[in-house]
Amino acid sequence: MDPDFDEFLHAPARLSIVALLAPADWVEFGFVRDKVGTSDSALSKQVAALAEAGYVEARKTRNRTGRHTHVRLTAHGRWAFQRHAAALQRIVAAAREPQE
Amino acid sequence: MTSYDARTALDAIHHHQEQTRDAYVRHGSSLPYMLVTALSVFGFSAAADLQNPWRALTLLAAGGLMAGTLFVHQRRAPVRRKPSGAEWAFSLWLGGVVIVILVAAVIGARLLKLPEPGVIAGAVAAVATLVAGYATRPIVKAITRQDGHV
Repeated sequence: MDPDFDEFLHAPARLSIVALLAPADWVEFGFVRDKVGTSDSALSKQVAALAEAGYVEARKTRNRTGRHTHVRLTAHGRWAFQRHAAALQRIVAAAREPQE
Repeated sequence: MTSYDARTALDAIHHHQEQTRDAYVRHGSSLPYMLVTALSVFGFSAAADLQNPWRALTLLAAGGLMAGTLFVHQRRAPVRRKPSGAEWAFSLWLGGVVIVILVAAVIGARLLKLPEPGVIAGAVAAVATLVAGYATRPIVKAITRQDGHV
């Protein structure tokens, strides 16, 4: 297995969350929940697991419209995601090589 | 891990990244914000035809509207990111195009001896702002896509 392949990150829900966060600085919790197609509690568990691993951080704010949570990738999380995506690309490329 | 699994995971990654970029671009050019921005542009231009204190009041109102729009726009964004250098450059270029259209409309209105050239030019520039906001969505999205992500 490619050394950059991250088994923890590869879980579909976690990979979806991290991929949604990657092009942004901060992403609203509700947006991630809707795009992943999960519930608040299920997403909270995944975000907590990713935060525990140091891949993401969450920020809670309160304003007139209520409480809002935003999530972002940490530098470590972004690095791990890029390495993981590169590992996936290498796996795909390796499978193509003999045919070409 | 088969190559098929890897390909599927990569496709999912690209799909989710596109969703984030879509949300960023869509929020940036959503109709309410574009309308208020166009109204501010109109206000700045129309103020030129007014006498003080209405001129100052109109400029203040347009400035306040623009600042308020930027604040609310940023606060309500589902996706927040620092614009890249290319995005800044493109935004400045687009602003320049609207200003050129505004100045050309003022000159045209004066040459044609139309009444209230600032109001007419402001209306033209406001429409140009709306059109530019929508027409440049694919370009903004392409720029965000270049921004060094997977």
